[in-house]
Amino acid sequence: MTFPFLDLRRPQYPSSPEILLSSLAWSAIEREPDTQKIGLIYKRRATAGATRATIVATRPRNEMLVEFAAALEQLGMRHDSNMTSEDLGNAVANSLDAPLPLKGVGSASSAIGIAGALLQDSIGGLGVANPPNFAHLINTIYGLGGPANTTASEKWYEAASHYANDGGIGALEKALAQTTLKQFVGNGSSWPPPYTPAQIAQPNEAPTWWVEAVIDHERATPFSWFKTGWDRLCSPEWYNALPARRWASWAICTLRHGLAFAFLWEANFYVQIAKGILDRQESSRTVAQRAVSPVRPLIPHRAGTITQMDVGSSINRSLALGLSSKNAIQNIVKSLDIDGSTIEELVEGTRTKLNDELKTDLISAIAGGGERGGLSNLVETVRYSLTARDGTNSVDNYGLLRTVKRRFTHVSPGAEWIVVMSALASRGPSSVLRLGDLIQHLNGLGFQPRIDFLLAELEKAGLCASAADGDEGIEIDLGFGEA
Amino acid sequence: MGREEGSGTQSNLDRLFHRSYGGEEVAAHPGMQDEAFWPRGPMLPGVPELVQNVVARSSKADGLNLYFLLGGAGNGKSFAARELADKLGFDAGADDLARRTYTVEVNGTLVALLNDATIAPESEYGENQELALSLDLSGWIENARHKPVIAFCCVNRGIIIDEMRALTDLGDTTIDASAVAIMRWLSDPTGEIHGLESSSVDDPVPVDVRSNCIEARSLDLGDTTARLFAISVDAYSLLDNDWNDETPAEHLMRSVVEKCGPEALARDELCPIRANTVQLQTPSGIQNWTALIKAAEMASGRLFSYRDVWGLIALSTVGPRVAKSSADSSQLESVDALISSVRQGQSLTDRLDTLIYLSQFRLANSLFRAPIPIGKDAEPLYPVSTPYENGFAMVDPGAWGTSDSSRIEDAMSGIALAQRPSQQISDLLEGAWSPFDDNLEADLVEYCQLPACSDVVRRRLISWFGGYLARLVALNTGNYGNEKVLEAWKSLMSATSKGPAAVPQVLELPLRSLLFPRATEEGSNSLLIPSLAPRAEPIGRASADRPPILVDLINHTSVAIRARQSGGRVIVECHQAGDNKVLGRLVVDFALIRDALTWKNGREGKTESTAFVEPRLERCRASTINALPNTQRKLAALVNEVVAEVYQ
Repeated sequence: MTFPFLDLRRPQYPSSPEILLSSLAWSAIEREPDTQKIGLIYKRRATAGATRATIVATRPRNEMLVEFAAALEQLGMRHDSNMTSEDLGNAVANSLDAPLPLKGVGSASSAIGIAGALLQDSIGGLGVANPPNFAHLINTIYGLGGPANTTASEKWYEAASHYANDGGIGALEKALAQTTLKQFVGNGSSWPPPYTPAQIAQPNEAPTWWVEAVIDHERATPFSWFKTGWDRLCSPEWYNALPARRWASWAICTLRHGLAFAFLWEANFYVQIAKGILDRQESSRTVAQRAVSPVRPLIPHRAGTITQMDVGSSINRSLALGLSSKNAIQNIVKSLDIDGSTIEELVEGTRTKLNDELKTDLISAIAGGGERGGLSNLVETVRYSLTARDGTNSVDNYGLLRTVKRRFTHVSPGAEWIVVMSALASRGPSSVLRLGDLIQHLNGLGFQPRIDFLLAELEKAGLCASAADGDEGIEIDLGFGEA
Repeated sequence: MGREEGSGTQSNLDRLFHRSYGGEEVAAHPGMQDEAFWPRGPMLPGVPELVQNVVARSSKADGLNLYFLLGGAGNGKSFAARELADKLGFDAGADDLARRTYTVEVNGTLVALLNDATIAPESEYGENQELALSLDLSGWIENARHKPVIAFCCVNRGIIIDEMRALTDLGDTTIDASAVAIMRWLSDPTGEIHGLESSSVDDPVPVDVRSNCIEARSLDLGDTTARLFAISVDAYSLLDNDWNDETPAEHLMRSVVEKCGPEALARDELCPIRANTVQLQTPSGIQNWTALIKAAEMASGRLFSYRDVWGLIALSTVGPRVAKSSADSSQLESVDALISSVRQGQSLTDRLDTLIYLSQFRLANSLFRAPIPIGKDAEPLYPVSTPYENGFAMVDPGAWGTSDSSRIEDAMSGIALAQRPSQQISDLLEGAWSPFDDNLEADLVEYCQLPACSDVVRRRLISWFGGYLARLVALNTGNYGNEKVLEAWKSLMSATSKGPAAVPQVLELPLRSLLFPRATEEGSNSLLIPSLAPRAEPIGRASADRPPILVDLINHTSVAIRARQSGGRVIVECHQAGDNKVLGRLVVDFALIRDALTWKNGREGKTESTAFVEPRLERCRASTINALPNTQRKLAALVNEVVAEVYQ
């Protein structure tokens, strides 16, 4: 058996990031078998052309709106005489709208609770018959983050069930389940429906070398960042403190960052291995360390002129080199039948067996040549995940990057970015959180920001509670719940 | 060893300058004695009692006794360690450099002084440098099993955070589990000690009630016991009024003016440093200076340390450190050379340029880090930045205006007619106006009349001099910028000085209105928040094209607010009326109070800080509303701008 690499499947970024949460939802809730190939989207864009899949809009309208309004009333939502039942139905439907993207087949719902998240899926979000399996990808990233006997999907189900049972939106959930979602949800007679994990979303087991070299040693990676953050966000401490929509927004922000940095990390991993194979002066141990724990930030941001602050070109280059290196290395390993139970053995084994032809391929790969199929999807996934979305009806407060003058991409976090990052670094709303904890958490992500950058963001968001000792001792007050 | 007072050839002003801007003796350590010349401020509340307790306990100690002084640099931790070393008769040696630990055996008790936890020499700790404090604790715990141990530790909290992280990263280490439990407690001494059995002590150490000294309970370490004390040395202002006769900052400034005064007064009349001393020697000079420093401290949101206060004293007396004309000359000599060139008949242009350059040494200019207009285009030159400038910027009368601003502006308009502004506001400048200021103003007014003075330069000079006068007046009258904000801040601090309290009336309604603004209709008590929106942004003005949406309908009176102090800051807590459980928290700072005070007649105003404070208001609002019970938070639909309640 050849060396087992991590299995991060190629993504394609959906125009509405709510689709990421919805993929998790559909991996945790049973789908009626005869509707598996139908795509769901909350609101179909009027100008959207034909797609390669059958897509149904789930937003209650026309007759469905009447049914939906009746269901709401039947479930106990009554209103005074100032409005009609359809007015109430419309008010609910409007309140579930997520930002409308500038492009794409339509727009998603805000993915709150369980029913809200089921209102779209990846076929509907991307408008293709065979979309990437986002839930598998997310569960894989989660599984690589540390020892787990659960999945990201199951953790989502735990948190979303809390909101589905909430008095405020419980009736909306049930009304959606009885009307617009009725034909799609299997086992939906009681609400919330039981957790039914989809087999195709179950992650592959992490390779042994990964468990021994990374998980057992609790080494910080974007995977551990995601797993820790997701576990915290899906814990009662946080879902009890956050309103449904904010929880969903934070969850989507976490998914966007986990996805993007996992691929940036992967690019660095393969480039370091490729360089390490070629540079025989370097010890295989050092190569392994640099591959797993990037020495430099995965997004090299710095202050300077508008051009110097651009990180877009460096992201593109990292991903291009990473992908060509990955293809070259995997080809070498396959051709030469290289096995090994550690990265060190992989590097040494490859050095021993490498022939001139494959060596030329590898040299070409780390210069950006060679096979790079799927690069544009990869770049789009990473950049769109991190860049503030342009929407027609709202502002994206959760992006890390911002497009400047159309040509440049700057690190310029949205208003809520620092809040989410701080929250994920904290065990709960009431735990003491210090700047040092946040720095450590972000280092795991691979961002490695400067302390003055973080301080400025914290001050801007009014999160600094106490600055007695300065530096890493600064206390961060998230403002939620009891201190 | 220390030198005698006044020994050597260095002048007192030079000595002050040298010490204030990076002399090696700035940081105290047990191996170094201060010159008797330097005045001393009192140790922070609680610290003298702890030092005394160590001395008393050294002769009859048992088990392990750990004393932690927690806080940032320059707060007097090492000063306290040196006091203790003196009292215990340590032979610390006249080291040039501070060491991490000093140890001595007193009556069979091992006494360790951990002077600076940030210095962990590789020669002693090897690859465990990042766990140095934990290793020290482990060692003391082991030693205490054989003989009594007292450890007096000066620790920056950042070190504890770093070591806690290293302990987590490294996983299993040889660090004693009790040491890890103590480290964890130190990261939040207000909490419980987890992992160790503890019992109450019979003889708690009596400490100053103003201090926040925490004495942990007696800990069971297996075959010995431990007592723990932790005190934050940065939780008390050196500018508050409840020190005995005068505040420590005031005491230090008065002593410096007394010691350096004769030398300063002997300097040339045109010297700005002389002018500073004369101004500070007026009956209200130091009092007004202290009031300004206190105002800046409040505005900055952090307490000034002793090191900060020494820096401010130096800025106020000898001025900022600037590039010297020659590497061999002292800064005072450089100033003398410039005054001499003014005396020797420079042209008006050059003389004005020199006087403006010298004005950066005037305390009103240096404290506020005001730029000076330099060169033929009068471009602003900013002095080097200081750690205190943010606080001073918020109370700068040149930027925010004061009750005296209109008189100063009127006086400034006289420059166009070759009139001297100072003559129209002489009552405001009495005692502060110096020959230096007089010469500067005379030359500036004269220069502004010259045809060679372009409009741009004239405008820049007049604008700058207006700020110069405003700051000089403020230091003389005690009226600073943002006075109302300062008053409100003082009342909030005063109200919360003894624990959680109601928000003072001046701020209560404005803060509540920022957090929970009422719907726009007249007399409404309701707050409308879109139910499923990502942010809790209240619905304001009616909008004809707004589609129907679900809203949360909240009675404005169902939420109450109170305030409490935390680590030098004030936190506003939201709770349900009649219930103490905290639902949301809001960090209060100067910018937030400024924003709140723009509230008038039920409407909030806008300041340049609105965008800065809005995110935290929204978070607090979201947290509070989310935690309200359904009886206080009703679901409704907003359809055609009419609110219709939805019953469930």
